Amino acid sequence: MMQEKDLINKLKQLREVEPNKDWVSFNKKELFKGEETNILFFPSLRPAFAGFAVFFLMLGGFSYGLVKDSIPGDVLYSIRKVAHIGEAIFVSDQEKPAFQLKLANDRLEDLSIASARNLAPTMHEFEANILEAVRGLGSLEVSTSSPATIERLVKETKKLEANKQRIEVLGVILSDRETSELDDAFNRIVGNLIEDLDNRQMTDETFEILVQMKELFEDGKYSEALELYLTNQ
Amino acid sequence: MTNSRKEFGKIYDQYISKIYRFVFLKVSSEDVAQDICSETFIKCWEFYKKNTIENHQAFIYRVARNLVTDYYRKKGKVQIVSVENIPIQDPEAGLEEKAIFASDLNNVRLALNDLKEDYQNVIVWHYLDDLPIKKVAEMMDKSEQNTRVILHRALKVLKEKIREA
Repeated sequence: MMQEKDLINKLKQLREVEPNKDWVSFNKKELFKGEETNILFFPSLRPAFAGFAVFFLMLGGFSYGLVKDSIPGDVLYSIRKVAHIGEAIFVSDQEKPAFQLKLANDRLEDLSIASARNLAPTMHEFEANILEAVRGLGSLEVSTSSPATIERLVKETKKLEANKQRIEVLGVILSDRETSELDDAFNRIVGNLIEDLDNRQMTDETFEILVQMKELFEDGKYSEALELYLTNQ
Repeated sequence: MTNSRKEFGKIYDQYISKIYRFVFLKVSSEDVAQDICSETFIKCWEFYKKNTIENHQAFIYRVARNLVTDYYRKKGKVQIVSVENIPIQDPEAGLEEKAIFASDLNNVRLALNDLKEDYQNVIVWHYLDDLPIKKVAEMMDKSEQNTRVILHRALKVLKEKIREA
């Protein structure tokens, strides 16, 4: 029979039961994974850090508000304009006319709040946007463009009409030069579209739509003609 | 937080092997022992971050014991050990000696595993972890005198179990 001393020796040999060293190290890493390792570890800096964070957030929010509300002629408008230029870089050629019309609409909305001092630079910006839109429209073919592109174009054109009327009520009359160039551009693209549709084989229903589009075209209601085309695609 | 992590890292290094052995001798499976050890240290770390622990050793062992109990309760298992499980060998010995050594040691391990929990714990803490009776008594929440009696009985029962094997 095993003596107590032998038994104790055997028990002590059980110390050889050891965990795998790789597992020990991996397990330790896993244990602390996801724990913060930055400034937040320093409890004494937390209030200061939180204070700075809140201050910068407020400053950021305040600055963003100032830039967003700036209009041509304001010092901060240059920042807003840079943002527009940056935005324009990511807009495809197809989308550019709608994008420029959107900017033109923004300027018309600015006009409703522009002071006398800001009126001239705001008008200047509006004209620049319209000219860019016209340039873009020059190379646009509706029949090969995506419905979403045309839809945005129609939406911005209709909004432009509404904005024009709104600022006219406020006594700001736009010169005919830019709007007539825009009309000419739309005249061309809607005219091309009608011509293209005319050469297609049509059902009675599409023929009827084409007739209605022609009537709108004759009346100079280009955006409505495009809208009619879109809704029947 | 960095300090706490550093301190707990040291506690981990100090106790991981002991806790692993303690758990392994109860569950006789490397995978299960690793899982229970990981969970033990996760629970201890979570607690350590928000609280002060006076006796780390007692606390970690208590968590490990509870998790082992949970393991057997959840699995509806009794503590049955396979003889094939991880044989322990003396690297210095020859083949025949190795076989005898491993066989003897495995018998001890199996017999130990067959003891009731208090007996297992007192043996592991005193003979494997080298804790003095005073510390073992603290861990068991018993008097030193009682602990000595339990240790004596534990060895006696262990010897009987080895003889029966």
